[in-house]
Amino acid sequence: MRAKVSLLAGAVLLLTSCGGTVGGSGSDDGGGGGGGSTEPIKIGVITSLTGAYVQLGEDQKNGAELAVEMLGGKAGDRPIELIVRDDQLKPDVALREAQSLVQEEQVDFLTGCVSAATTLAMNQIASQAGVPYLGTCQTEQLNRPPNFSAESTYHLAPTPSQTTNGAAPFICSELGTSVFLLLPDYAYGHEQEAGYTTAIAEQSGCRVAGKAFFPLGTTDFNPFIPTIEGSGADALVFGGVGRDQVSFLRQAAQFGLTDRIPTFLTLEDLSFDQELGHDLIAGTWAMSAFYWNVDDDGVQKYVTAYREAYGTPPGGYGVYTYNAINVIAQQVAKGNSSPEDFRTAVEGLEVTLGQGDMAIRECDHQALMPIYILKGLSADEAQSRGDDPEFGLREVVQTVPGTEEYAPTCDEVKAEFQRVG
Amino acid sequence: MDQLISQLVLGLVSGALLVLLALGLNLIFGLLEFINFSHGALYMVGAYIASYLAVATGTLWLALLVVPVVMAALGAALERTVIRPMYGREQVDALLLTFGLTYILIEGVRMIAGSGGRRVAAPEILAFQVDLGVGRPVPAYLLFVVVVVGLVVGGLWLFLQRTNVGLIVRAGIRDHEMIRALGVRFDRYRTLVFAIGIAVAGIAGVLTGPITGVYPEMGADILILAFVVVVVGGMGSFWGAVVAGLLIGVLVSITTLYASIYAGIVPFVLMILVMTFRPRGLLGAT
Repeated sequence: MRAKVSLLAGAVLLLTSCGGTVGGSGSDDGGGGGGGSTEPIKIGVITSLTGAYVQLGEDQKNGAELAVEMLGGKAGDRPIELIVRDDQLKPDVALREAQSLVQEEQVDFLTGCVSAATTLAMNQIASQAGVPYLGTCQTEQLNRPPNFSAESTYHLAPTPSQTTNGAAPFICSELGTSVFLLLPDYAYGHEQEAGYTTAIAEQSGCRVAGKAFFPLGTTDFNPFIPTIEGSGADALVFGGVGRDQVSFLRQAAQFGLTDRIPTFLTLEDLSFDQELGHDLIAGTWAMSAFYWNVDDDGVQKYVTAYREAYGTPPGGYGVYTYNAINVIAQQVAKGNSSPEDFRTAVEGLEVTLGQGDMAIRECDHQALMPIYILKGLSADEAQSRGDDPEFGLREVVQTVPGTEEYAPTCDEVKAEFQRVG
Repeated sequence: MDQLISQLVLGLVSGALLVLLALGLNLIFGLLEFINFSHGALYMVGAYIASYLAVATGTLWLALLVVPVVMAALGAALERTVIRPMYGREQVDALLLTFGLTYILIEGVRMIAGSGGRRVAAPEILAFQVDLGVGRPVPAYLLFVVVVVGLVVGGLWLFLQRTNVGLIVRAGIRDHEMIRALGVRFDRYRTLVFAIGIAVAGIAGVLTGPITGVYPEMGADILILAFVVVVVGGMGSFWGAVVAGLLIGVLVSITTLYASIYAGIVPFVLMILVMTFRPRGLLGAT
């Protein structure tokens, strides 16, 4: 019997160490092609093609490949060779893949990530090797000490504080003044906690009524429902992404929670909205740095090409890698392919790409772009707006400009760098 | 107090689904001495079949009847083909086999149904809330889940206790050499028990659909907890799995109220405590 117990306990350990995620191995996608007289430019994309955020990862793969295709496979005269790898949403795999891309494939640039957990691993390898890394997921830590490397780190997605600073005035004035925070228990959730706690306190008469954390990949949200209701909150912020968002909204709806307490999602993505459907997202609110029907030429150029290539409008994460590939290709075409030249050219760069106008500021290489507050529509509402009801799940109700007011200012960032030394 | 009762009730619901998975694992482990790593993936396959049936028929009822039968057939087929050669071999072989099976099933579902999840609607007539008198109202579907789990557990118990087949299975769990010596064709019972275990996992899959939706990795998440339940409850102990499943559900739920950040580790702390102070499990045989 003892032997049996240890065997079973061993099985539990083995399963746990697999992180509950079973997924395939990395895939290599050779893009571009030889034949040109000039040396190809190699760009590595590491994203999550398996794991809880697989839709975001697939969107990033699509965005990157679409960018290469729209560029005709070339950055100026140099063919673009795109190498896509899967990090399985695990930091150790991201580290390994980044190492392999830098050392074996000798990539010139590195981009991709859907989670704060993997981006730091990639950035670490990229900084050591002096390869520019363009982060494409929401995190506060990538371009802050000790992770930021001025020579090689860039961040093309908003920081969580950009979104929480933009969301707090809306939540407190439109949804409720007593806010419950239900957040994922990993870096992104704790960054949101810090962001919301500060930003909500700055709104007059508004307070955080309670907070709870759930593990990434939680399937059972039922125990959280009475916890939220018991707090007396009149508004709820849900900070989870992907599968967590789908599970939570489904279970909350069974209790009628989202009807009674207005619910705000920190991060919207079309792929989750589609799985939830109109009935579950109607009446909820959300935030996103990209929405496919935003009226902007840069956005629509990307959306049209994406729909032609993949049959659906893009979600919110593909645009980051699409932008990253475009920024890299533009600079390589101008001859700025060395890390030093790239840095000089990109600091303070203003471009119009898949998110419309975007600026990469000099102090921390953070991209500033508008962020949208979105309202979830019922099927009838979507129809009456003349949208494609299959994809027109939300409408933009407010645009938060991409200015320093909502991000940590460069002065604050510099102070932080000095403090840490 | 009301709040505590609400947490308790919802903890029982979460625990009930764990019980179903743990019972199947426990039965299979008890009789076949075989750790079925693919239990979670088979549970996921059951949930997917249910999701397609629910869309085709517009309701979950048919799935609740059909899926256990289909899964039992699938379980029997697996046992007869790939699992049978593992008997008497190193446990590691069986682990690797079912681990591989898990990958194949998950990737297969990804290829057929895509990486994203699918929605499953709860039956229309259960789309209301029940006021229990204490705590806050609970969705009828969740109570329905508890009732179905209760019926399955009761049915399995009666089957094991009151039928001749059940008698042989129980005897086999205790000493299968002896059963063989008595001239029982033991192989058939192994197939039967594996099929029952997988059918029960299939029922759990059907019931889970409307709560969380179905997605390819759903089995991996819950399988870990199901293993913990088996260890905590006691190997081969029927009621051990039931008690441990409900206990873990309730403990996680109540921890959520007071310190949500620790809720995820509660089952593992409990497992460590049980392994240290009562290695045979709460209700395990000596």
